[in-house]
Amino acid sequence: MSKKIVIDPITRIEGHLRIECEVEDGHVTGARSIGTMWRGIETVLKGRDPREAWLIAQRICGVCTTVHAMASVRAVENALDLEVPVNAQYIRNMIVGAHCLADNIIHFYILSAVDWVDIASAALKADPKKASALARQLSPWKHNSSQEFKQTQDKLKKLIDSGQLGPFSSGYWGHPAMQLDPDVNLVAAVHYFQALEYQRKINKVVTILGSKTPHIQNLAVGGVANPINLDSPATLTMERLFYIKTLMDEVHDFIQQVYMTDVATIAALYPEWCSYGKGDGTFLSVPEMPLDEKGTSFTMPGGYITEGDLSTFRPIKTSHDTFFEDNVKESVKHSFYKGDWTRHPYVSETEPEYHDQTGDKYSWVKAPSFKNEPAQVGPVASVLAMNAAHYQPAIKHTEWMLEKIQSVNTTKQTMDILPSTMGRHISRSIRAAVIQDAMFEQWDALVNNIGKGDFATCNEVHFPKGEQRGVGLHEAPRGTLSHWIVIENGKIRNYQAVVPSTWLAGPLGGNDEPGYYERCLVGNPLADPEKPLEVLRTVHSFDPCMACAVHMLNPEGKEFSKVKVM
Amino acid sequence: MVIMKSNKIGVLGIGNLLMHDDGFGVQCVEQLIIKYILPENLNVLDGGTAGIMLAPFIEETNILYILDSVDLQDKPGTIHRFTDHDVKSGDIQTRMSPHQVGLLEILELSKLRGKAPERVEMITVVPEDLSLGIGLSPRIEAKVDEVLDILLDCLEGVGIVLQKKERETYPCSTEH
Repeated sequence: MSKKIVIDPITRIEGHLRIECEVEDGHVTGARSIGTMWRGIETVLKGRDPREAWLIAQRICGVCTTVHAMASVRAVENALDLEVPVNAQYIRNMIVGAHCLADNIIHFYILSAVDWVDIASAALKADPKKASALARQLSPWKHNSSQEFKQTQDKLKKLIDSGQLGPFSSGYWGHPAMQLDPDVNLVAAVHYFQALEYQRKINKVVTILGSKTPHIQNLAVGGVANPINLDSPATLTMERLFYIKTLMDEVHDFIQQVYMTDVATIAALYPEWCSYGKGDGTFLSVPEMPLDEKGTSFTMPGGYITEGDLSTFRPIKTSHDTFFEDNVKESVKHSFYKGDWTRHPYVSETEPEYHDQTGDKYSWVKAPSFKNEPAQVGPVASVLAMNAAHYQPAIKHTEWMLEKIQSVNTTKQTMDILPSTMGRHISRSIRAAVIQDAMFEQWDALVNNIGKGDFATCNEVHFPKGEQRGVGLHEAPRGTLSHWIVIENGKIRNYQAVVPSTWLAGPLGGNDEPGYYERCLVGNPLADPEKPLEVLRTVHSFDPCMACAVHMLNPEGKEFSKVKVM
Repeated sequence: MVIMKSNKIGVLGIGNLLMHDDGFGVQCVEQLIIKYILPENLNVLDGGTAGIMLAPFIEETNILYILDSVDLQDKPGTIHRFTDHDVKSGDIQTRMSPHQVGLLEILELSKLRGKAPERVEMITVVPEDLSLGIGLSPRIEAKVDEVLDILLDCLEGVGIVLQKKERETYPCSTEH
């Protein structure tokens, strides 16, 4: 018999998302993804000076602040055909990288691990000595001692005894889908606590270069506002640059020896989740980390892949590539906005019109498309594109990850597992390793360039009369982000942000094709409709951050996550 | 009260600047930075809506003051003060504003890590306008100075007397 379940909200960080599933015989047969808040950043930006757009746009969200700042300055630069000094590119790229690593670490350990790791089992059933030995067998990480494991277990025991589970109170302990051995659960729990420490170290790089986190202050249309003067302590000096390098070094081991190793181990022990949660094979990513003034050459490739076939890869080569600019559209056929149209973001509108959620229009999220089809954005798209482009660091880390999984479960692994619920975690960790390598390159390039006596960090901005249009691309932790700006006589006439969670969490599109959450949930197992852990696994694997997909509290918004079986 | 010299005091303003009065805490912190000379052992942060990303800042403090808007059924502009214990004991609803879902979780997590502040105090105002747009509504804007006065009293209680700057300035960096 078919049942309907509702989870509202499903996110663990800012924003509001409601998922409705039809369930039959222990499997999901249909799903609806509903953004329950309205975002209206566009309406705030109209009429303003394009140079201040980034400061406002990065307030859309407190988690992804830097990404909106970055996409916004790039949009204005793109519209004005403005060059950016290479020092500014390097500094921005390091911020992009450091922010991404911090975000990835938080996503896996703080927001997702509890979907896979049973904290109660770690606390009550694990043997800290055996768990520590297992961790040391898997990785040379220096903080895997049995004392450390014992201490963590004691902490967890105390927590469970107190009856106040605090940060773990939302977990489904003892759920039949929790399959890890107690010792593996304890390994992950120990690293959960360490993760915050390393997230903090890498975020410090964002703070130093960006002057402040959250909400960096150092960007400017045309470059960055960091003065470089090797003799003045108030500016970016060699001492600060070496401090940044030290922080990057400290995080380096954590990424491979802990984060990647844990993802590989958990993936190996949940092999069926490498096939659940698959969507079809259309992937979109954009290149990241520009290396020249004009944005014509990039460190990390991006592009478009159809039917999951890497040979169809069409790279997006420059920040002016019209292949991207021409092919993005947004539909409001099933969204709470006036009308029934599919339009290009330059001419898109944000005029809300609320209906109840039962009709054809059921979400505040618009439905974007690329070449008139929905496309999956995010780390899988990025890792596939980098492999298709034969980008060596990506090939190296992909192979490392697949071999690591294989070494744990002795089953041959291929890249086919990447577009799946677990594959999204695997891809995110591969991309983190690639980002990390790229950051070291950017650091070297910056230091070398300063060494040559080039201290330029910003170019001057002029707004010509008339209209200019531009798109700012950014391959953010959650996937392809684009900000679209129309400038008229130096003021913003239209502004649209097409964000990763919109690509993924969108409702039905202009041709009634489902969004990616909706299609990837179909076929998911569901042991207990009252405790839909498996649905959470797939939705959380996309790393939903709905604050920017939509914004503002709905008066009907619910206070706590509720599961209803109807 | 025993005052320890090694105390690291934190002031954290929380809110979304794009939602009118929701940005109250952030606007208060901005005024504090512009108007006062801040000593070494006082960390002040505009935390926006950063949630879990605020953990490092919170863990660096012994005593933490949080300035925010509060979702309580009361007259807009009313100031409410409470501690983290009040929130947990159920005296008020745990969810105080849209972005605040994670704050109590962070404090719990920090406690588990043995790094939670010894004391957390919240000074909040009931908002009037939470619609989309920049700037506080007049009634709420008038509360900024009042909340700052309360904060200054609190700080004096822990041994920090803030001096006004001769001229209001905006620092180029608030790196912490």
